[in-house]
Amino acid sequence: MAIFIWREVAAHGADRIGRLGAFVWSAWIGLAALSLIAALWQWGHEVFGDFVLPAPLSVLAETWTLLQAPESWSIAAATGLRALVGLGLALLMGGGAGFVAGYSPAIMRLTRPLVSVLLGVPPIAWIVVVMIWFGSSDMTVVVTVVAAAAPLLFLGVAEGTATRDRGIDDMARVFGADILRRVFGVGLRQASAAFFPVLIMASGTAFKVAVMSELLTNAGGVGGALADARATLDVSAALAWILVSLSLLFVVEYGLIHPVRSELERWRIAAQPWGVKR
Amino acid sequence: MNLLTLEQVGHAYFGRTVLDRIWFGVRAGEIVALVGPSGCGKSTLLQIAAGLIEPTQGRALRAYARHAMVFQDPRLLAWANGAENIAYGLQHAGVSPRALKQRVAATAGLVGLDDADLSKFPVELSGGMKQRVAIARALAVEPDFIYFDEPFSALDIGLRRRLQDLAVVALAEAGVGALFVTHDITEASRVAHRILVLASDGAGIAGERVPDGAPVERDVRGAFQFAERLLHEDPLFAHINDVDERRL
Repeated sequence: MAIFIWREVAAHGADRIGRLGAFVWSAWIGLAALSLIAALWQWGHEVFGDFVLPAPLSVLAETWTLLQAPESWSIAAATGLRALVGLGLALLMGGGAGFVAGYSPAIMRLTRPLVSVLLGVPPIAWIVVVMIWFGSSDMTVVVTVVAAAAPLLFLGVAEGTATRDRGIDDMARVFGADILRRVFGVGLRQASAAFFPVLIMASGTAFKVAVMSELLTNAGGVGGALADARATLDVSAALAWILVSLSLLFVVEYGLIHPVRSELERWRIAAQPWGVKR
Repeated sequence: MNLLTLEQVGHAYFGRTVLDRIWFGVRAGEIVALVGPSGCGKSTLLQIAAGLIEPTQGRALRAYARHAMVFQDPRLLAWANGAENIAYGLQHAGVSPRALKQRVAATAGLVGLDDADLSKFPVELSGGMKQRVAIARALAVEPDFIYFDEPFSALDIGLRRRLQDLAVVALAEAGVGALFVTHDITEASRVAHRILVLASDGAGIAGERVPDGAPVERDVRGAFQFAERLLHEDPLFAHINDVDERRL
């Protein structure tokens, strides 16, 4: 039995290391795209001058000095934590409600207009109202993030669940799968196709809204640091902080969402033609 | 003893009757083909028999321990590879991992799938291979009864014959009962012990024909000749190729 399990683990492990290698290697392409943006930025710097748009290299250097200071890390961590907690709550509330709505047409019809209303309210309006409710605190930022991200996740998950292949559900019933196995093993898995693009969008929204909310409510974090940079007209520092918040998003997206997605959707990658795959 | 008995089964969709007064049984080790014109309610009847739909009248008595089904489309889990798809039914049967792996390998061999096919996802398999996986998934749970819902209708003639032979042999070896819905009379003549003809308006079984010998002993030519005779000379099959899908 032990040998059997070891063989299974070894086979899967080798496969996984291979896929991880391919994922890390694909970073070169990402780097190429980022270099293009940097080139455009450099061009803008040469046209508009140092005060309006500092050179990308000097902003990178500024970011590096920023990161030498331990308090910068705690500022970034505060924003990252708020965005992640907000995203997590949005996922639980929006995603959970979306999954239920995907199974129940009645709930779907009831919640659709509600989601349209929530989507239509600009985050800035939330900030004003929530600030009156909670003052300048973590709570204000988190609630704003939830309000902005939850409707997106609701729509994605509800759509993915409602458009699932019901034939697969019948198949699962015939082969003796109980309701829990059908909902979580088959329904959730099918919903994931529509879920991941929306999750990526929602995580981007979460970080954007968190920074905006911090800036407007004086709640510290990267938004607070940006407000300070604005007060001193320090464009370099502002851009450096933008880089920091972008890096936070990159860590969440490429360190968390993409690996989980590629693990769950290996079959989709298997279906891709060679030129798309590599 | 009947493994499956349908008693006075009737069904209506939104008040419109599609099936009425259906009464028949399937014995252990027997393959019964259910034929009828397109849209006469064959698939609905099969789903009632398998317990996927509650009939509005009558009842389906299932005297077997475990059933399986092969659908018209393979209905494989897109995210699971061949082996995992074959193992799907076994996962709910409380089989140990080692026994599960052995059972998957054995059934895969039975339907002509090799190791390379088993590690592929359904998107990487051809239509015929996918249907083989679906058949293996049904056989893997070692059922007493298998439902076939026009399983080979989307395949080309050569492949259809191969899979029919395979199904007939596998069913005979396992000694299980089967209800085989099809609109192809040649297929019914090839695979079944008995052919039941569903009335074109779904009102009862119009009649029954019994091809000679057991399905495993039959050859394709004999089955084809039997089917031709039914289609051209037998009044029971006069309307079998009429298509009225608007009725459904």
